[in-house]
Amino acid sequence: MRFLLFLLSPLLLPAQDEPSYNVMNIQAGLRENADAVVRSQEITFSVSAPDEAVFKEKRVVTLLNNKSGYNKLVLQYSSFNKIGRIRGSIYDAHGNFLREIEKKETRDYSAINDFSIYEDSRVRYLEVYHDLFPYTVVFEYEIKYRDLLFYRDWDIQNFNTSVEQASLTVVMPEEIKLCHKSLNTPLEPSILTEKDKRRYEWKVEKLPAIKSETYPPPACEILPQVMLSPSVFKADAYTGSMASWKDFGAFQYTLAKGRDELSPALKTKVHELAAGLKTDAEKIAVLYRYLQQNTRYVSVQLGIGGWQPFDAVYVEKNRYGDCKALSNFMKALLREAGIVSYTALVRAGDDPPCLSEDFATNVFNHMILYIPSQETWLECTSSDLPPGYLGSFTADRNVLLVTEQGGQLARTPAYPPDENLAAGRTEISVSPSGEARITKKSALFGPVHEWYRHAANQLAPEDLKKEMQENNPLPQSYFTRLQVKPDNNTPGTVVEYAMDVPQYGSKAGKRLFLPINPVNAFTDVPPANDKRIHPVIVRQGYIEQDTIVLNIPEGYSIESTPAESTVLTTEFGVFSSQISRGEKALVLVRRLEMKPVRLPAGRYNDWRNFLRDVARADGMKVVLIQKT
Amino acid sequence: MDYLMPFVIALASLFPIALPAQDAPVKFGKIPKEDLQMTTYPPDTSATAVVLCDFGSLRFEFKDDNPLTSLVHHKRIKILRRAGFEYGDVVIPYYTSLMKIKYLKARVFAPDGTETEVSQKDIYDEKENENWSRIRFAFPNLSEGCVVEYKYELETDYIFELPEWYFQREIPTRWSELQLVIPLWYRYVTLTNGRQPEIVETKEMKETFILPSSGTSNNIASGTVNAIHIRLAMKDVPAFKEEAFITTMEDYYSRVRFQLKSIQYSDNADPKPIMSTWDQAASKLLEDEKFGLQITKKSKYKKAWGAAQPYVAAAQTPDDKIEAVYHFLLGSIECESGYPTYYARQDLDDLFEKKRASASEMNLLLIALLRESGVQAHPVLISTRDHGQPVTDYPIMDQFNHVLAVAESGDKNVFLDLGNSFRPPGTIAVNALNRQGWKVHATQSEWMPLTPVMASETYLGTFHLDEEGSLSGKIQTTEEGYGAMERRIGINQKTAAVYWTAEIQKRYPDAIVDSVFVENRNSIKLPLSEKFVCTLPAYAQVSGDFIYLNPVFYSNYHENPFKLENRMYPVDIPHPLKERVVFNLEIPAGYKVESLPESSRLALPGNKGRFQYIIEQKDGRIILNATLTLTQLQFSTEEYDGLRSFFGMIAEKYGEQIVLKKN
Repeated sequence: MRFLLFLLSPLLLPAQDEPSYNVMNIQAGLRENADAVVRSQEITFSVSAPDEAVFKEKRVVTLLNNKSGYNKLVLQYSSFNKIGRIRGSIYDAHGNFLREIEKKETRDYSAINDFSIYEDSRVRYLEVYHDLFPYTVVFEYEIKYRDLLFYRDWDIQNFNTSVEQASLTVVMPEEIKLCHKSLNTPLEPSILTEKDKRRYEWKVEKLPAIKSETYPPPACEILPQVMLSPSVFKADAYTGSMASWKDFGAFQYTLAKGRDELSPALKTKVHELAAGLKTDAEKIAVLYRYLQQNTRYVSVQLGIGGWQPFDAVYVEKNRYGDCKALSNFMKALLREAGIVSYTALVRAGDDPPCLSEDFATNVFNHMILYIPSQETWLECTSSDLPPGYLGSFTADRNVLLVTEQGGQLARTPAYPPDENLAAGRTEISVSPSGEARITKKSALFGPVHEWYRHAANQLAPEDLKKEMQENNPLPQSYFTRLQVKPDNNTPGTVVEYAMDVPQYGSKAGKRLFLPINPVNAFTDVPPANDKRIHPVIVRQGYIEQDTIVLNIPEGYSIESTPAESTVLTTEFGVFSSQISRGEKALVLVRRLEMKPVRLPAGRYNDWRNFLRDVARADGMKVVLIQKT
Repeated sequence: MDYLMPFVIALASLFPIALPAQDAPVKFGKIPKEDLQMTTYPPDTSATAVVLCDFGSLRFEFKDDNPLTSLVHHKRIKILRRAGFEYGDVVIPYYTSLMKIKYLKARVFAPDGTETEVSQKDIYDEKENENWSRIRFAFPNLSEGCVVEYKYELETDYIFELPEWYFQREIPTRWSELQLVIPLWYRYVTLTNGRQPEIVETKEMKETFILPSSGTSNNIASGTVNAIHIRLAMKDVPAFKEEAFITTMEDYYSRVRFQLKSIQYSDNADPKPIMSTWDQAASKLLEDEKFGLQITKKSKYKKAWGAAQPYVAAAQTPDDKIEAVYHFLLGSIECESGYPTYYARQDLDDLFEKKRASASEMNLLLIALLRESGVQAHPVLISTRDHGQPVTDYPIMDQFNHVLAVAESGDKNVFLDLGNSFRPPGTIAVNALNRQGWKVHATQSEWMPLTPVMASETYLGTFHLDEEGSLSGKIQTTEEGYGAMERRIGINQKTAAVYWTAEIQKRYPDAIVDSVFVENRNSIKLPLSEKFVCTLPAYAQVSGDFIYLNPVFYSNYHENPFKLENRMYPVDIPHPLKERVVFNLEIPAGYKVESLPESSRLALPGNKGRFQYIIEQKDGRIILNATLTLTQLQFSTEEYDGLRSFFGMIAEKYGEQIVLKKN
């Protein structure tokens, strides 16, 4: 035996069996456009019961520079799940082992959002440093779940990251069906049935990096991903299914069931408020105002992964709640007035998700309310939006309605350019030395008005002035008058100001140079790019309409102006500027319509050249000359 | 400098008489009708909320021979407008292992007087991270005009510093008061910032402290002892507003801090000083396991020295040695941010092996290795700009949050601050440029001025203009000091070609940048120089027979950086700066110069800010030479106007145009 062992032992530790993390072994094509290369990733997700599973991951990533976050491991957990061992190590560019990460290097902190008062959410965090790129980081960890509302999706690839090889294995008990769908990849799992288990395996190799670009399509249209959902899950005392949107919605409905009881006093109040109102639209408006005036947004996320709303009585008593509690409360008010509404799960913000009819997944972070009879959407956390105006935070995207029949996909309205409008009239009086007094009155409507509404309601007048002064494109200017008046009943704000600009015109000898558009010149031109890969997406369009009157100072006449008529008509937008010269004044009538577009990559430069031409026209100067 | 003023509170009377303690200014739950009915706060009508009363009462207690302090904090806020509802969300942080919140009660009062108690189950105690916890809750039932108040007791056995008290907040405060009862066994030094409290009262009175049976051990006297009663109060404190170009707002908030100066348990014994002189504080720090011993005990840095030796061996002069050790450490350790302390968290060798350390830890290791290689080096403690200006009158230790190294080379001192690969020896982090630092030396500790190097930038453009208004030619840049550091950081995140293309395209979207050549990219002690060829289409405006163009093709001062009309607080600029723009233009054939901007010069009082703009034409070329130099770093609010118009005039000059006309 001894002898045999002696012979065998060198074979047990052959050098070539050691994983070699030498960066020389990375195939050439995988370094292109890459900040990091996933050398290998192995994920095993073993489900043993509807509320019990173990998630294990080992990943080896070579960081080529400091632009990716692969030196960090961020694991979110709550009181329902537990993080087991975490291990990590680093290797240098040649694949030499440098060191093991010690347990005490991991940090543990509360993951409460800034806007939250309380959440059952914590983070284990590990960050590895090395001074010389490239280097390789190995992370290994496991999480035990005792509460399984959702399954984690597999993001196979991030932007600017290539993959040598990676795999996901999901082991399911026979009685639970796994729902899965591949996004942006034809990848399908191999399925192996063992005695009382099914084993799914997805495998990829040699995926080149996908470059990130500006004005991109949503990541969910580009990056390969495997989405996973359970057919049965359990959390706390609740059982549910993610087999379809219908099922997921039904589970959400159950969570909120019975939580919409109002106190007798409040019921009476609702009837009082609704008495005498003829239409549902009027009732909605009155009750929405009641909600706004009597509650405020305070986020407390507890229980069932933070998915169960606090009940209506809690909101009534405390006069606060998070998006779920306030939506649920509003729903109860409406119901008392005889109006049916549904809560809707939504992913708010700039990156709306791609939801497809055939696969349910949880990508939501917010809740709003929908009234089908009026096709009205309400943002119940806002204290100042007019009734019926949802806002750009959640507009134009698929959402999940939670109804008594289960979940149902729906789409929130978009704001076309003519509902996102800024129309203004500007009067500029210039003195012979180049000082100007500018007065402007503009009416803003739709998404563009939102900032002004919030600022007017949230900031003290002095702070509002300061904020607007700091964002003023004119270098040195003083507001002598500023009034921001949000309209109570429409999504509009009127902004009026007078401003002194000591150095509006620049002088050179007997000439005075004046910018043609001091108020909203377009300047944001992205660089030209002949190698654009992805389509160009502009989600939100807008229209600006301006009349700018430039009064010519005594003793001066016009030497030259930019072209009298500029019209740029493209499929991406339309720009027109008309200049008329009078003896004492010059009038510019300007209109810019920026359309929401989705263009193939090949049209990028055409689109970008339109923006450049607009910027050029806006950047022109009028030249005045002293009369002699 | 009225903003920082330490003072030791004097004893009012040597012959104490028993007086009742000063009453609390308000009683919990008793809100005067006028306050409930108040709709605006007359001293500041724009206020969205007002702190009606902020009251703290601190007492000493004894438990198991150990002194501890208990602070009862009572805060009452009037919410005037909906925008002030955010002051109904409360966060009370405390240090988990040292502090305890013993109770918390909170109530809200509607304008009609209706009260709602905050339920204990809606008060959350959250473990924020390994060290800190916070109590969080939101007041229910808020309405415009309501009054909220809460009261809690914070107990701690950490008596070296007493809890800091802020008289000023981001909303106005009508009344803020702190009362302390401190047994004469303990003497504290008091440090106030910003506006001084209007009411400062001290009394000495007999107090009985209940000591545990073993209380007489450790020379603790039992029973009755005189105690000093301190009362500090401020009335009508305005809201605090943030401003740019400043060290930190912490320097200007009205607040008070206390640090233990001495302990004396018996009249017969001498008071035992706790860091009462700078040299004493230095001696203490140098014996600290986490500070001094790290640089004096070889076992703490042996491995690092072993690894460094081959790199240092060839160096002869102190300068060479400094250079060698500095670069050795830069290349061996990745700097980790987010640890604003001058202490080493672990032994230096352990950090060296992990290849990661905070800048302070790297600097301590630098000192140790320099000493080993025969260079005199010392730690210099500083307070970074975002941490507040240093107080030199008394050794207040918690004011420091970073340590630099100072090395002696011949008769000059070289300040060293590791942590950024683009900063050479002698150039410390911008955030560290906070006027002065304290050299930790057992017998010759001293405050040393931190004199910043200049940030200097030169942009030289030689161009040809065509009839369509396009500019083409060469740009050459040279940067030194902090200018070079910033630029090196920029070009190293991308390539120099990508960096300069993006930088020029920011101003001229259609610019084409080519043949980028960088000199001294990695020789960080030398000036950085870059050359490239570029074309700027449609640079000039062409109208009929005229061409108009601005000769200042690149500058950081086209806009006045000082936008606000008035300032409440002084301006503090971290380092001197210099920018030079040279524009050399060949005008297109068939055109002549119709007009040029006027040459001019400008200076700030005392010549510490200078600007010149010299433009001339010669043989079909126009040459502009513009230079801005600023060496004054601090400007009082009175000087602000001058500073602002100085930069305003530069921006105006930088907007002026050349006019060319077809022959």
